[in-house]
Amino acid sequence: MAIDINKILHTAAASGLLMLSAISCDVAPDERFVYEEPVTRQRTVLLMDFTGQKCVNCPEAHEVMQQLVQQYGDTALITVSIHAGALATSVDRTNFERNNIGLMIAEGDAMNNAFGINTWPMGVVDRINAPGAGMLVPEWAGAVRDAVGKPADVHIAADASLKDNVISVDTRVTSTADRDLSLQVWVLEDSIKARQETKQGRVDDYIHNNVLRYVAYDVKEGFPITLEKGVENHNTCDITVKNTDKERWNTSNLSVVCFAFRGTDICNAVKTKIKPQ
Amino acid sequence: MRLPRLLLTAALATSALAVSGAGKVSVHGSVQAGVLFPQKDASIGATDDYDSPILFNTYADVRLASKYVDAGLRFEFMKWPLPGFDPDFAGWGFPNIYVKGKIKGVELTGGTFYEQFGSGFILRTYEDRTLGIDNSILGGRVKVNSVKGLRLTALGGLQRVYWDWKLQSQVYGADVEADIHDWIPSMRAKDAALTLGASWVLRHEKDDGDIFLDGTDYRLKLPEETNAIDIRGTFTQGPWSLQAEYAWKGQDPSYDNDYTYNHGQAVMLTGSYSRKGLSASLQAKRSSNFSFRSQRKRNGLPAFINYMPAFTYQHTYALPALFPYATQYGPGEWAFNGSFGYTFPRKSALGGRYGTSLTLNLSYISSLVHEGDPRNPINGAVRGTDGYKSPFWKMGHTNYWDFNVQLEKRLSKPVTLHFMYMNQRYNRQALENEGGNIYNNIFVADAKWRINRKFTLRGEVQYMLSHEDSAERDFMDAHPERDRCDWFYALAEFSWTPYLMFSVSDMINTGGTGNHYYMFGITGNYRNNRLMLSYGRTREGFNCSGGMCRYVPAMKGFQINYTYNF
Repeated sequence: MAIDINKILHTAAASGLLMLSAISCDVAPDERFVYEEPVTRQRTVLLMDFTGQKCVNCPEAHEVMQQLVQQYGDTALITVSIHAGALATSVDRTNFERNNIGLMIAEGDAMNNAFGINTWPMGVVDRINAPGAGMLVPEWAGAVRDAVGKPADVHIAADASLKDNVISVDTRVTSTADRDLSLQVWVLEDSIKARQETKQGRVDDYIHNNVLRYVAYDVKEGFPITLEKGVENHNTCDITVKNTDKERWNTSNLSVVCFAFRGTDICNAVKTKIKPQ
Repeated sequence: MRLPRLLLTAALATSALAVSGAGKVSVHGSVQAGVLFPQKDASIGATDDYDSPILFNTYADVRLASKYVDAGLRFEFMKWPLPGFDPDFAGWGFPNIYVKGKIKGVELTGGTFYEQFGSGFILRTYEDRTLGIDNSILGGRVKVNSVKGLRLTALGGLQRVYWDWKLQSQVYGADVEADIHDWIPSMRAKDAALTLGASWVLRHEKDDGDIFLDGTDYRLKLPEETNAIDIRGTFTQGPWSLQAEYAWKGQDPSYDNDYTYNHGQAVMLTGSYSRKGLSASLQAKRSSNFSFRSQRKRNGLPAFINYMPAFTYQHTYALPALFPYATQYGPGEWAFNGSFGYTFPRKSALGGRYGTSLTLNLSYISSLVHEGDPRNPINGAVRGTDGYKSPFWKMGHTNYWDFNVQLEKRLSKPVTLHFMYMNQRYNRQALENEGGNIYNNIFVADAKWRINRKFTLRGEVQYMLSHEDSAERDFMDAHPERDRCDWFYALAEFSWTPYLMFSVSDMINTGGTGNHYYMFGITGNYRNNRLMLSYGRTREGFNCSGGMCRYVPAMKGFQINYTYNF
């Protein structure tokens, strides 16, 4: 059988056209960035960053959280660093004399497992106990923006005060309708100097902020509350400051986060500094 | 999108009707179950809590085949899957169902199917149960093989990503492959063959408008269509073979490339020689920005449309497999592989009475050099730019190196020996984003004694001598709970062919923690059934196949593996 030159040329021409049409799908550099009107804040959003001291990519996520807090303000966005999983160091491994400070608490690891997270850093926005809700870092900004603009039907306020090494947390929750919710209270600590792996190597005095230190109620169930429309639900809890050979909280760097959730959705949240009494 | 039950019912009815009218029908299928009763063991890091006291992955499939119509269905139950799979892997249902019509060289498939164009540079859908990969396409495919020497394929559909078939993401493709030697008799006369192929794949994925530049109100405009093209050729003459393949991919901003807009390229050249008792091959591959997924936000194993062939030796011995190489799809790589195999003939000086087989294998993989300082004009991040430049011929740091020599010698009729030496370099920093470089020298001795026609005894002894560079040493010093440095492994197997096999093994971390990873097993075969019961520990690490790797956490417990084929 002779070679059909025409067939070969037709094939080559078709391939060239295909290549041209493929390139024409390109987005030009000046068309890649689309400005969107800023959203109006409707609620306070909780961004959980599942992180670890042995995770070299995690410091970049910490920077992204800072950028987002600068953009939306700390009343619209609460960020929490939850040390968990295979790249985290447990508080049980803490040895203060050797400057080896672990930041993973069991409750944080339990939340990590409930979300089914197995790569870090991973973020979760306004969800709890929801397998598969974890998001990679590039998705955080869009998810936070989306959540900030969602109307809230639950409002929450809180005060926290410190006396005799006991933190008293006072929460007040109101709702636009009768509903059963769950309440959760976390203690966070800023400015913890501890090891962190980075892409440039290990940093022994890395400053860890918004670190989850304590979970007041059951990790999955929280504290059940029943709300009547327009009626304030009042709740208090006491948390003893930890000062052991594994955990030493600096009370001047502590804050409290309270949030209400229904099913796997967080309805609203609030963060407050602890006032000395 | 959940696979609609309506589709299932319709497909079953169609296939039943079609098959019933197609004459003689053969029925085949299989059942496979992997079960673990997990136990906690803090000494090896097996501390995970699971939702169920029993974890299992179960598959059952049935295939009907006839002259004109084939049909198949698979049921999977992974509600509480084995450890280490993605959370989205959990689920159950009928993810695979198809009907295929065949007549006069034309094949039409409706439902789910697997396909590969060329080496898979731009399209390969396949199933690998140990890795949890099933990236089949749900849609339609036509294959035409009516003209001698010419094969055409066209397809389109939605890709399976665990239990999700995302409507907003579609895959289309076409492939043509021509056996030129079928048209040129003079080539055939010279024992030469030339096959040329070309493929095209289009991935359409909706831009959800939710990838923003951090800290700004600017979002990225993402291309909804990404094209990929592949051309290839294979020439063989006698014992020689030469294969070349080139692939190009359009803009595909994704998590894998930090949402940059550069094009991707891959090129591969393979030469080989093979005759009785002697084989040799040389391969080179360069790929950059060649991760091609149906869902741009995914990372890890799911949603790959393409596949980059692995260039490292697939080790089956335990210690050489401790540090497997994972192909670098996003960052790209230069990869080289050379292998040589020779069998010293019987009754020669080195061959002895039964012959001796020698195999050499060398793999070297380096990163690409990334040049420039790309920053977008909005917040100065790399996101939204054309990314880093990678000069074609420049190579960066070594990702992986593996040289191994294997010798197989039959000493006497019942006794066979197998030895292996391997030198390995594993760049943990490049591959796992932590630590530094690990250098291993591994020695393996494997002896098999066929006592009689029924009974066989086999034993393995392996030792790994390991050292670390300063970065790896610092990293491991900070994590004393991790296994490090030298390892010892021993295995003994006793088989009663073909019914039973007993095995016992232990892998000991002699250079660090001293942990023992023991395993006791018994395997039974009866007709088409195979049942394996085992108890022991599994080390935390990566389970890899073909350059694709799944993280497996430390495990301890009782395991059952059962397969049945009909």
